[in-house]
Amino acid sequence: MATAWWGDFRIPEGATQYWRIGPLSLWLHRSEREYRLHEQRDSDPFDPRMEASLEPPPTPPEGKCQRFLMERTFPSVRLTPRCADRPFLVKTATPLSVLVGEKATIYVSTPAWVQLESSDARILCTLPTRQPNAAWFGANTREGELCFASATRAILERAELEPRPARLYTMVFIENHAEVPLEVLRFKLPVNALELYHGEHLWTQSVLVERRKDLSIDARVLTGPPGIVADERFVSGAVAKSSDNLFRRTLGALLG
Amino acid sequence: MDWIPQSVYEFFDKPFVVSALRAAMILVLGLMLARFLVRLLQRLVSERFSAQHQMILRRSVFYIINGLVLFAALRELGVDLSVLLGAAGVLTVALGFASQTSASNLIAGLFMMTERAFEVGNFIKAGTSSGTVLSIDLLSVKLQTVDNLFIRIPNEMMIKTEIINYSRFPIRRMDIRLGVAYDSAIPRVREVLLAMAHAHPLILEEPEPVVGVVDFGPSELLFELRVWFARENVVELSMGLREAIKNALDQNEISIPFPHRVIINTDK
Repeated sequence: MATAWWGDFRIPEGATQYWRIGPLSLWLHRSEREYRLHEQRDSDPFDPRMEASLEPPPTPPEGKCQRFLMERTFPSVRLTPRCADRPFLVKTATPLSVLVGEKATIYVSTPAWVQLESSDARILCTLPTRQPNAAWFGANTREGELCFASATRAILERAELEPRPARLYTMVFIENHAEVPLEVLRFKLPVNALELYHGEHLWTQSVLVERRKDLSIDARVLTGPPGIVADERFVSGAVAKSSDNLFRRTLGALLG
Repeated sequence: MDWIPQSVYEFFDKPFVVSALRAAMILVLGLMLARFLVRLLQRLVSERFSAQHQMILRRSVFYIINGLVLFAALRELGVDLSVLLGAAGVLTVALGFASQTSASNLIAGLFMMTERAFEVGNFIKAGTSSGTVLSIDLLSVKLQTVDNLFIRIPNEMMIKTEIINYSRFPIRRMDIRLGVAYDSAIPRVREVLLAMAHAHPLILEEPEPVVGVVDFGPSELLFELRVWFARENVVELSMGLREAIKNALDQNEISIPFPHRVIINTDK
């Protein structure tokens, strides 16, 4: 398919399936009793290239290799986009200020993870398309949480989003009902608690952040597909199941 | 049953033998019950508690049940427990004098367990010894060093000495001092070191890496780079960071100078 690099792929015995998903290249060779996976990453995280082919370029000598052994390999494998297994600490490239009584919608992108399964639904591995650096999110260096680090230009127009096969887009609604402007320098985006959909791009569920009059912050996941295009299809569930309360607690403390 | 001699009947008919058999049965069954309950408890709490708390809980349950079983067995034998407790008091005083060191270790152990400065599995430095805590017992703390040695430190020493717990907080900071030639541009050095830190996979983006000039050395300008990392990456980072710094400086033609010495000949 031209728009999707995921789904079920038939690999004849002795053949190698190749995927190019943005910066990540994967070679999966199937033999009678093992799958052999080579992976390689380029430096550009926004690489737009996407390919799935049974005529792969030569396997690079460098890069990581893994072997998955079984009594007999299956003729097909499934590749699924997933969200990261940790939240992202997203820094805005320039400070944002949501004025008194205003609303804003920003689009944020984070790297996709890919999950490789055999056709009997056994997970072979889950890999990031780009390995982000870690970042600490917490009130101090004693209490907090390790997240992945990301930066955002906080795009305001959907038309400006470019097709990136290895990026997951999240729509963040920010509403400031308080009597003072809301400064947004960084925020935690718990992508690990969001479902993933496809429609034009890969979309996570949307997030609504409200600052109330009493200056408290409430945040919640908007259930269901993000509703950006008409025919959004469910792709994968949340990596970490978290309760709504937990989500509010974690996200609500983050803006600033 | 004629083949069983009469004397055997008579032996098992004696009240003392019956009590002894009952006491033995209580002991055996009680010990089995204690082991069973400890294993059950281990399964129930293994995911909810830390290794340290699991160990304390296991031992507490084991010793309490064994104590009760022992009392029940002694009672079955007809031992007057009030006398025994009185004797135990006298014995304790005698033992206390005889084993002051053990007693102080014991009390220190109890204090340490309540203070919870470290737990089983933590990496600590106590005095001159450092290693992973294997167990915190009533008399001593056992450590495994990084070169796989076993160290036993008496609790009395542990409570008196300074303890550094490297595993207490999830992230840590590493400070690295390095000297560059005096003719290097300070903003350029800062830029190169920060770019290296941001590109390094083990360095956290937040808290942000910091670079600054901290001193004027005899032959070099001293910089300090402060980076934060997840504590489990300490070995990998301390091995790799200096190499990454050297490579970054070399690529940008910033030299780390050798010591310079000006020798003045006064014999002219």
